[in-house]
Amino acid sequence: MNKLTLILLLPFLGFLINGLIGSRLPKAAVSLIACGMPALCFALTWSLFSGLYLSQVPVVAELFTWAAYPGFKLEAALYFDQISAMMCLVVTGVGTLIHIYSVGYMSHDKSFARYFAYLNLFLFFMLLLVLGKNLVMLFAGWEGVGIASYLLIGFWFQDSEKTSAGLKAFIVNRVGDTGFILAAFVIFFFANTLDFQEINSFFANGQTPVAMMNLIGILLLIGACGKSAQIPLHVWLPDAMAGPTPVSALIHAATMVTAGVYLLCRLNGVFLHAPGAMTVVAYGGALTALLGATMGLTQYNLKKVLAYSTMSQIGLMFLACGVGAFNAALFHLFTHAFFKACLFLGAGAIIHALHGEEDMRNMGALGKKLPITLVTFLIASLALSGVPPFAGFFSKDEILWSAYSGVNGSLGLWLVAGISSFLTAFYMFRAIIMTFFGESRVPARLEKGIHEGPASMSGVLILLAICSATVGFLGLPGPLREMAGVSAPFYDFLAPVIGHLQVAGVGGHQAEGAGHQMETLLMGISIAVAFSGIALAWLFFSLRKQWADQVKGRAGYAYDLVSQGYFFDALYYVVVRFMDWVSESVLARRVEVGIDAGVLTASNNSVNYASRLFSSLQGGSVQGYVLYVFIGLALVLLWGVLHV
Amino acid sequence: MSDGTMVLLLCALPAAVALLVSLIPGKESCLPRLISLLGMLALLAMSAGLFFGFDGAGASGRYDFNFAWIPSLGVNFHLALDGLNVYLVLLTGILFPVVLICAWGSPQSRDKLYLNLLLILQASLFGTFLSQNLMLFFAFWELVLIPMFVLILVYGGEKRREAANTFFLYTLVGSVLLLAAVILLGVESLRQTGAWSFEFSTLYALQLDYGVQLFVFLAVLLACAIKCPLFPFHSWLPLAYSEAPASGTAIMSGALSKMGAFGLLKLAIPLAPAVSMVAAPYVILLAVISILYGAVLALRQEDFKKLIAYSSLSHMGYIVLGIFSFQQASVHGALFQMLSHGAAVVGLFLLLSLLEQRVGASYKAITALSTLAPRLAVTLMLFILTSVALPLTSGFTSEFLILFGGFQQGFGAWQAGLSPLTLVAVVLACSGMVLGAGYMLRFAKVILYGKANEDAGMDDLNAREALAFLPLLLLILWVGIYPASFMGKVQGAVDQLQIKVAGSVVLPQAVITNISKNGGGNGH
Repeated sequence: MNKLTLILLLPFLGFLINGLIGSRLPKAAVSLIACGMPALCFALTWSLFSGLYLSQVPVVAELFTWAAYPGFKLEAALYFDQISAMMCLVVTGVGTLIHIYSVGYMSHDKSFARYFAYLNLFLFFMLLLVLGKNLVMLFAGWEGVGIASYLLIGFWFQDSEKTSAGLKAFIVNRVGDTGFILAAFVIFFFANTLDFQEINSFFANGQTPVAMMNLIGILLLIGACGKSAQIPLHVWLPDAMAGPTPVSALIHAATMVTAGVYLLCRLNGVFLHAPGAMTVVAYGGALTALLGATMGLTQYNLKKVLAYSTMSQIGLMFLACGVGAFNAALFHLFTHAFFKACLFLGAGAIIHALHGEEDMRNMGALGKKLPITLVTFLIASLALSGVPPFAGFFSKDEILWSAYSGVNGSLGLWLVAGISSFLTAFYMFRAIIMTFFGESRVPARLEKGIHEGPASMSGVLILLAICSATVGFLGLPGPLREMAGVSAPFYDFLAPVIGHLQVAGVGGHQAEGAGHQMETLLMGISIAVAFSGIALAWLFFSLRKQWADQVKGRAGYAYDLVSQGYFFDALYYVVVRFMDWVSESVLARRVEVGIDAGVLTASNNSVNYASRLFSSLQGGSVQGYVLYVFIGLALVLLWGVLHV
Repeated sequence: MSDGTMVLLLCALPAAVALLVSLIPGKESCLPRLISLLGMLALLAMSAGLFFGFDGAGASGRYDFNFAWIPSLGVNFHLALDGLNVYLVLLTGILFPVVLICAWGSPQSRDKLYLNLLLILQASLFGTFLSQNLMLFFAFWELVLIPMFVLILVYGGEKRREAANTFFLYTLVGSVLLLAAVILLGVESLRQTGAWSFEFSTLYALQLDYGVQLFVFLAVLLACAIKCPLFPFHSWLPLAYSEAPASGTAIMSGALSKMGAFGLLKLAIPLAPAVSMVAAPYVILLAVISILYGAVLALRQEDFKKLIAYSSLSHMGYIVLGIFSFQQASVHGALFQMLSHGAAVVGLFLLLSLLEQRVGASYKAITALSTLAPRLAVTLMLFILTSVALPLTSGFTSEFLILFGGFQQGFGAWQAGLSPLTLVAVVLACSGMVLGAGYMLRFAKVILYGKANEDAGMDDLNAREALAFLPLLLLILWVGIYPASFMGKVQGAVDQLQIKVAGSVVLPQAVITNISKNGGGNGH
């Protein structure tokens, strides 16, 4: 069996073992299997990756024919090119770390084996998603990670709120999936194939009407919005925080939610010929980036702050795709996976120490008791806020620059992205100050025995923090590359599959040298923005605490609007209630009853009527019988006359 | 044993076992139950053997049993395995032993009448699916009703009398016109060939004018729309499904409903291709209304059985949608959906019946099954996920192929400047994906999750029961993961159907070219 297939099957094997007999195995064995499988996957991915890095030749594994009839053949095949390789490294690498972390985090849970079975199942579907060679394979993984997410959000299924959150996540995702599947249908109608490489090369010739290209693009975008929690299909993500925290780190920060970005990049050949759809992607991403960041400002639940931040960061990635900078989107996806996983796992360490407390109003001054968590959390926050030289700075800066200079780029888009970066720095340091500094607001019952998690947890935090600090150097922005005289390995690696769409797209927008000057200027501004966000947070939540409350009081309705997530939930609530009302009050009470009455009662009555009619015909009256005879005779005569 | 005899045996063996069972003396003996099960297992082995031996080239007459019954009227006792019925034969073979094993512990399973009814049902179902003679087909079609009627009447719930009557009369009404159509076709055969014949092969070759086709089509459509059922002919369904005994409901939803879809494939399209082509958009509309109507109604059903009954209405709509899209993909999908829905809905109903066996009527208020009986909960979840059409389950394979084909047809018609009706209908049907997830996962939430009552105990799935569900789950996963292995078996039948429809040239050229482009020979 080749390595590629093995990568896919190992987590599934782990799922089967732990799912079927895990409850009878000792915890050590369960953990070994659960962590061993992803680790092996990572090793295999690494060896495939190094091969790919040298040879530049994608690896293909044809497994079997999934469905076939004359003129149609759909292969179950895996494909390992540069994009898949990058995704696969993130999924298996960060995945392995989070599995290891989970061993410590979940050690007290009764359903230890079930947890790891689900986690391995998730990994299987996620790898199917990134390795699938065609739209159907990807869709299988796409829906599969949805169900794994559903199961893990509702992992503690005795709590009805948690299971509702899982349900909501799946349903909202299904709305997106419908868009996805329709996109696949339209693509097939024109391209006559569902294979990614064939699709991209088919649409490259640009013979399909632009309106249809835009239609495809928009439908794909709907699919991506569902999975990647973009407005308006983002409502499930904050609720999804009901799941165990490592799950939030793995699924709802590092891997699954970024699948939408992966989809857009995978089909970049389609989007490049769908200018209308690109514009929608860019502005939709910018909107999500901004709204997500504002919603993050008002949350008191530590995990929800991070959830809104994830949403906002993915918005930036969409923005990058929309302006044609697919490689910048993927680079941000890459760095984001590390620092956001680190943040979530740090939050997990805090929640673990506080026995499940997630409200920041009940935290404070934890820095002294949880020094490792503090330092790692701080590094990851700096990365997220875009402070150089941490990873997030480089990837975010590339996006900001593209927002200005890319295909649909404009100063407005750059400004929106810049504002959301400012807000990001602000709310992250608000969270840090409320959690780690100031005076302790921890309730007395939780105060006792706050300590760092076991080595498996701290070790993972440290590793992720190191990555958050360093991986940015893989993709230095243009001016810095020139200054240091180095290349950007990340972009170079992806170059064969995604062209670095630069200013060229706009057609002489700016000369190269002037471009670099402008880029340096904007870079300087974005660094200043990050620091001012941090400074403002420090001012508001450490030096002049009354200011925060005053601003909150002044804002009034605006504050309610933001803290209630712009009432998107209320909107969906109305839709769901309406469907329920239709179901119960219209269909069940009226239409069903009406049909029953119409069909059953009416047919009953008509049978009764007919039987009365016929029995009255045979009432025994001789005159009547004679009359029938004459009528009959007349009819016979008539027939004879007409036919002779 | 020749393959032709095997085909006959499928039909004759259950009847023989039924006779044997009724001859066994004593009331409390376990022997009848055991003999019935053995008979059903033998039938399962035979139908599986036939299924895997069948390579799609069934026309050669290898799996064919033909006996001139009433030669003067052209009524032959002609049974044969072909591409259209091969899935259904397998399904019928699987369902009955599963149903009996699940009913093993219940008092009725010692009842000879009960066993007899099951066996006769199985015989007549096999007969319906295998018939290659229209008159024989009609006889079996009607015969199915009788054991089912008695099953509901004797073993049903509180309102069993009402349910049985509604079911019986309703479906009977649907068949009256069908009988007229059958006779009309016989007369046509006499007129055109000079001899009475009800052989499908003869009837398919007749040149029927539009009026005759129209009558035949409408008669068949009505009968099938009631059997399936389709909106608005489904009134009997919620009542019958919730009042029938568990095994009755399982067979009704799993196999009887498939007769309707099968009738459309076997009678409506090949006998009235021109009318089918014209009527297709309207039938599709009806199918999509069923899909959405059933799905929306299921959203707020608190009675589990009714919920699954309405979901069944919804899922059967997909089959009809697939059939009348006339695309290769969608017809394949419709055939798969028959298998898939058959397995999933039977699994769901039988699991509910196991709960009912355990806690009695209060099963309707059960929650927290995941805590009380984890193995049962996992099995239930698998069937739920099949209904939700999750990839790697058969539900996805079939719904994907149906919607895929339907969309290609509708989009092609729209692009060619024809009515966008089909396209709109298919897009609406896609929203059934969301609704389906909505009601099934709500159901899962209510029944599986939540806080368990401290003192509520429940036996988990035992080995016998687990074994019963195994074939259903295997079927679901096999069709979900490797459908290509089955598709070759029905390819010949699907091609035949396409040729029939495409041959009825009363249509604008655009649609035809589109069919041949997307369904026929588009190179890859």
